[in-house]
Amino acid sequence: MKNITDQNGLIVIADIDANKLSILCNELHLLHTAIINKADHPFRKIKGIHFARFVIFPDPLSAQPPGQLFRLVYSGTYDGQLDAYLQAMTAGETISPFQRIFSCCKDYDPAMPPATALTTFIKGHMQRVDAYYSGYRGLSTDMIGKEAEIYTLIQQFLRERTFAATDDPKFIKQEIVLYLHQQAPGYNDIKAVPLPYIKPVYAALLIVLLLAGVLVLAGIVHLYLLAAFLVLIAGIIFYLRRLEQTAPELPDTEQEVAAVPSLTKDEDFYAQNQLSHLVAISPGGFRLGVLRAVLWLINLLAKYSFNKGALGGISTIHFAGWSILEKERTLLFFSNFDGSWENYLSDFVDRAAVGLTGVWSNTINFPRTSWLVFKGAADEERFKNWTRKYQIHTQVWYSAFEELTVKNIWRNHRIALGLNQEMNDMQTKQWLNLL
Amino acid sequence: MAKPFIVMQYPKIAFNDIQGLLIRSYSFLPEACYVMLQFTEQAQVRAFLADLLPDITRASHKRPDLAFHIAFTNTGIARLIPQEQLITGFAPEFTEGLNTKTRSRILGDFDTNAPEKWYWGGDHNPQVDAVLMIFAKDSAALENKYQDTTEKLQRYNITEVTRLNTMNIGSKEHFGFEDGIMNPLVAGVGGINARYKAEEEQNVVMPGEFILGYPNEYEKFPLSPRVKTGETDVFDIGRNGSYMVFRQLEQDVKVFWEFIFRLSENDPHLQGMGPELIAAKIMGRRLNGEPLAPAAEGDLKNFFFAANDKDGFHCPIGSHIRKSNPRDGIDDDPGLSVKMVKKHKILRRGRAFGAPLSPDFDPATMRASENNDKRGLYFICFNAQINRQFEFIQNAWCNNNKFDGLNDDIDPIVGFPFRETAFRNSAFTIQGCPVRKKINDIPQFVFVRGGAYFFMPGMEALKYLANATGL
Repeated sequence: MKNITDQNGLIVIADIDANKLSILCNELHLLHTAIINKADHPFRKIKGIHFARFVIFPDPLSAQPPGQLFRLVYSGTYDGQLDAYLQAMTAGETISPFQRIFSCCKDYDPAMPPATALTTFIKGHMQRVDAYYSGYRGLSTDMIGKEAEIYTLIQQFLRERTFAATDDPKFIKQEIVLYLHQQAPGYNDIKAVPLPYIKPVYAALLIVLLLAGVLVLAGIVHLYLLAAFLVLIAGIIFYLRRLEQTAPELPDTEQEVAAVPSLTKDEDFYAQNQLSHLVAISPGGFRLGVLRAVLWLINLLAKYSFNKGALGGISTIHFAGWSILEKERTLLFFSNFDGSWENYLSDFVDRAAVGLTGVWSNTINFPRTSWLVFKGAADEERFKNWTRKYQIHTQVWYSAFEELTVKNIWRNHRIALGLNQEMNDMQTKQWLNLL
Repeated sequence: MAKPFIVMQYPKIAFNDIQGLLIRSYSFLPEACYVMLQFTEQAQVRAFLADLLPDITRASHKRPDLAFHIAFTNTGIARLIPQEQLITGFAPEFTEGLNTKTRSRILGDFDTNAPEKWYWGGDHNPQVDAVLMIFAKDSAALENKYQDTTEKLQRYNITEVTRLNTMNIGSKEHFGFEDGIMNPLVAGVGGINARYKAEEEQNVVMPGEFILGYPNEYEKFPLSPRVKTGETDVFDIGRNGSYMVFRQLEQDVKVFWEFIFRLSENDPHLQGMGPELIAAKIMGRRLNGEPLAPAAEGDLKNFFFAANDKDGFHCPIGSHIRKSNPRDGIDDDPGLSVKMVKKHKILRRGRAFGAPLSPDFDPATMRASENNDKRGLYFICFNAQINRQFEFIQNAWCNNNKFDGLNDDIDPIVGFPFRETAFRNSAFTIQGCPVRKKINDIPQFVFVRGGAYFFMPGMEALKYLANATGL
């Protein structure tokens, strides 16, 4: 099983020292500027990092007026083990910007040697990612980079060489492989990534069977136990339906136009975009419990069923994660996706409204839902307004391959894998069609 | 086998309260002009509107001899409705206006398209508050109505910013392609029990996608601006109105054909492809309007991509008609694709300006011509949500070089590499056997030269705007 390099998500949250807030903002702005200007910056030197971001948000539970207490979130997606990642973060010169940033937080201990201080700090402030999705589980940054190079080389070759309509597909492929041998001798390192996979339909079936199994088992143990279970389920459903009918929606009068420019100004610089979103969980333990169950399920499905490049039909998400924060009072959502915000949110509504409603119906002011997963996000205009209302500004965002879409990454992977494969005529034609 | 019909009940449309242009494009009124206005004093504008009201053509008037319409920009609306009176506002993208940074970013109005280069509606042009649109049988009738209108403008102290004249160039657009073939069929326009053929179903769209006050494709009513008219009284001023996108698009016809002919003559990859075929690949249709995708004999409208042209071997994936209307071709679920595409449709009502480069649209003549007159399209479309419809098509499809798995293909006709904020020559892929061909370094053929977002109110709303004195 461990013949793949899995990608892992990291979320670190800490209180910011109020006296150092302006220093921190300045540091983050410098880093942001370095990234968008493609200047020298530390993320470039950390191999195996797919995405990273810094977000500052005001403490949502603070009794003090807003603008008093702020928190810093650091989030990243990396290949392999945390220790190796932290080592790369703290190696040599790379550590300095991180040190400057994290030393603006309350619990950072400047007395320790920098590498130890940073490692201790990060490990001490890590938060669990409750549900985590990867658009190309198992593909390391190393592979993605190499495969993108192969694609570029093939494009170059096809620009220089002309083929006739009558040329044999196998001959064309041969010529391409020959060219790559000369240009990039290392290409045949690339191997298929074996992933455990259960078809979403079977996964759903499995869950239903499991539930039925529990009930049957309860019935065998004692009929009263079965009855108790059924009453419990009915109770949960009844209570949920009552909550749904009374949950307040975001009123139509709150279109929040003013808040949007601060978010949109950093959008659409690359083929990829990002979203940070923070919203309070509806009060009461019941909603929290439902939310935890839904996230647990999504996490499982993402790992074993939606690991072929699409999450419930959405094929534009690189990495996304939900985390329950702040003493279980708020829900954080981070996403890295392809195309514009409008495109992404439309995909949400048109393809995955059920799953998203299942999650966010447990948070405040969400458009009216029905049976936990229905309506809600399907109310397109209100859902989009709601999303913008609770979207928060991302101070620093880094992507290792900002011009590659999920589809591009998979296409490059299939091309690279095909180079070494023996193919019949049909397969060769299909392979050429990827170019 | 008899073709099955789609039978369902559609919402009843209040034709009497809707301005006619929303429902029909007046192909029987070939002459038209658009008059951009600037308001001065509020009371005079209201009086002007009251005076104008009987002349506005309602959609219930099926075949008028002359059609007359009015629509307002954000500044025009602000002049007539104080902000504090709005309980729910107009759509944010309308309130913001077309010539702002956010809109420019989404649409690609940078560099060669930047609002500072516009003839009207741009950064350095006088403010436009409203537009009057006149459609007539002949130019005499048009001039007559225009003169009449000019007198009214003077009487109410309203300034004419500019007058835009359309040109009747027949059924083609300036590059020489048959145009205006596809427009959505608005459910309910043919009556509540209208029947459509099964193959038309992909193009039947709920009225709430184009007219406020009706259910849309999400089975929701689009958010509509509402005003306070008393202590508790509320008036839905959006009802039976629509947002109208107006953009002046200049076409460089000579550059287009020069580029195409050169490819055909010099590019070794495109050996054996004549200029008309290369142009057709870029457009997705032949000059006579015939689709490249396999279609029933003589049917220019109802064809699909998924079943017989999934990989774009006939109609390239990045071609103009496939990018701006992907039909059932997005990803691997044709049914879902059709459903999604219905949520990104517009009602096109544009007209051409300027004389054709060659009277018979002959490509070789157009290439050789030295005529430098300006020509192009007054692109006009209606939609209920500008951001989800017009802007989405331009941004997520036409301007998006990564559309549907592509690598770097921007719509060669109307696309702009919006992320770079400067024009960059992009590529176009002609999918095919044994291996795809690529056209590189495509120059810009279409330039944005003016525009604004308008709101075209219903008749009751116009009456309200004309009479809302003392509020």
